Amino acid sequence: MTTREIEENPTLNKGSLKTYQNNWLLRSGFNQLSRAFNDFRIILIEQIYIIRRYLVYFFFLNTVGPFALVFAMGHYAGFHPDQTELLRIISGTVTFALVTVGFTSVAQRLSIMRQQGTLLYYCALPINKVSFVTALLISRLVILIPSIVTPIVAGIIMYNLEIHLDLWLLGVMILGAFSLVALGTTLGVLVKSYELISLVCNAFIVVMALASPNFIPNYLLPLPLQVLGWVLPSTYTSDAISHCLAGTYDRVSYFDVLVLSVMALVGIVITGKFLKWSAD
Amino acid sequence: MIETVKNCIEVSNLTKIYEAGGRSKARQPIVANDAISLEINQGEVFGLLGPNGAGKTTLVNQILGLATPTEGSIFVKGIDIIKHPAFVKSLASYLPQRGIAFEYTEVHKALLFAGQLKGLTKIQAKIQSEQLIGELDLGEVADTFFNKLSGGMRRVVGLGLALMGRPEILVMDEPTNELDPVRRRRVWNIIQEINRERGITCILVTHNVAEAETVLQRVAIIDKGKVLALGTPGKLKQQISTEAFLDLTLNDMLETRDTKTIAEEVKFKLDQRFHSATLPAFRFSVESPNNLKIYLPFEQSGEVINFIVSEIGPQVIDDFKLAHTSLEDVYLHHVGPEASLNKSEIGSRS
Ligand SMILES: Nc1ncnc2c1ncn2[C@@H]1O[C@H](COP(=O)(O)OP(=O)(O)OP(=O)(O)O)[C@@H](O)[C@H]1O
Ligand SMILES: [Mg+2]
Repeated sequence: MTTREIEENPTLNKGSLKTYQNNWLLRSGFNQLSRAFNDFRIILIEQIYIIRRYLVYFFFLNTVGPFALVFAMGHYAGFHPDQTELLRIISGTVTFALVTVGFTSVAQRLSIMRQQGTLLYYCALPINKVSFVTALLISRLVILIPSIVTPIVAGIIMYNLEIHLDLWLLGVMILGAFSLVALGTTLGVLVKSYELISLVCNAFIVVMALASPNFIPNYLLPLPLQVLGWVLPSTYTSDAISHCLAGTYDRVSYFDVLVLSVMALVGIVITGKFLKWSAD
Repeated sequence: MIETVKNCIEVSNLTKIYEAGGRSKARQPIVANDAISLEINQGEVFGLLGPNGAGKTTLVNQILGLATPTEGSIFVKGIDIIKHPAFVKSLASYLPQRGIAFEYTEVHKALLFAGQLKGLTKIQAKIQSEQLIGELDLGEVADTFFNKLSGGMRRVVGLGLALMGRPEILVMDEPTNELDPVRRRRVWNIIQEINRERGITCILVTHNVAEAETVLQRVAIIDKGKVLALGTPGKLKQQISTEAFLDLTLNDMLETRDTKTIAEEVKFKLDQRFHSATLPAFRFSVESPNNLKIYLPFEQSGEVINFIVSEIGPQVIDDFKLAHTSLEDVYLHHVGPEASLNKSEIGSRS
């Protein structure tokens, strides 16, 4: 006797149907939420295990790189930067590092998983796609820590910069990193081929790190690049961070935070919607 | 109270078409599954056999809710899993052909993770994983990273991961590929055990037809997306042949008589004594100087064997076995090089 027959025959007892559905169709909201969190936690740990193989190299390289960048920018062509310019260098370096490291990481991981078939393995598990994506994102945020910390430390050590450190700064940096990673992930979802992803990512990186209002202030850029800058998350990340470093919270930096939140959300929604959770 | 859901999985008229990739107009869409209908009963070990590209993986992917059929329906325990793929995921475990996660995790932790992702609590997962490490003999590799294991051990660990959470349905795509003979036997035994003891419904995709024969309770032979044969191994064997054969190994006490002469003598007497118009004739084949194969109608085998043994003389016979057509023969009959021949034969008869 199948459930279909049970369903089609109203005179029959529906007990056995319920038993099967109890597990799953009738699972309570709270239950689902705690399951989702548990799944998120496990996948996060697994992803960190993947990263931990090269964590030492990663931390080393991502400390040296930003350090060198801050050093170089501060002494560029006999340039003697003032406090504002130095802050821009720091925030620019943080953004630069977030873009180079964060933007590509999840996108590339996803395409590797797609190629190896691991993505399908996760699909076959009774887990939520959102748990999976979020865990993937957060796991890659971990490796961004040195990229965020080093420029600030370098600024303090090399230039005796007075930096305004507070939780708001931390929040903004995490949000900036998150939105960049989320948009990178979107790319990984929309572009299927590994080679193409590398190409597209590199193009984005060059534009976001160098050809947009990051190291160079907005008003010094040619108009087309200024316009381009409005749609790039890096612009808002950089701006918000430099405001925070200076301790000047004004309407502009709240706007930055708003834009970044929206971008992060859009990234996650697109990822959730378009990440193919099947073998089709 | 309605208890049993006899048909665990009901697949009807399932068709899966992959759109042609690339821009070239010459490329045809691929019909990976072509109107497949079959039922898999609760608690049975069901085999999916067929050559490369037959559509086996495509079929199990759809049963697991991993791919959406182009047409047709799949009910698992009576629930439409095209509408509710999450249902089958909560019930079934999958040992895929490739791409198991937990690459950089130690085996014992991977088992824990797999269990927890299946909804077990940490303690439950711990208990089950320890049990499985024992059953699958994984003690030695429990602390090894998954990516450092040999290809065969990965399969065994993969089976362990799939068994975490005590699934009701276990789908295995080539579970014995790459395994050494001892491990292969072990995996077959494990499959048989878990099926018997826990009543897990197993779907097995395999190319290892000869070995799987003892484990499989029912099989479907698939080629080019179509089911060519479906049933118990015994039924399928009978369909292609009602003959059994007696395989005799003779020893050196033959003295003056050689195997060929014996064969001729025995055949003559057998034909005189047993042959009737309604049954196929006895066929003899001398495979080597000491080996003789006698094909005989299955129904008569008991009597005939006694007769043959007494004719040849038991002291001359070193070893003998009575065998029926094997599942491998059935497989070859349907998809082997002679398959098209068999088909045209059937066609000309009808
Ligand atoms: N994602 C896909 N896109 C396009 N075609 C596919 C896809 N997956 C499978 N196919 C095609 O569908 C057919 C059936 O493939 P499938 O993987 O189901 O075969 P199989 O029976 O599992 O073979 P094997 O024994 O080699 O694993 C093949 O022709 C294959 O090329
Ligand atoms: Mg396959």
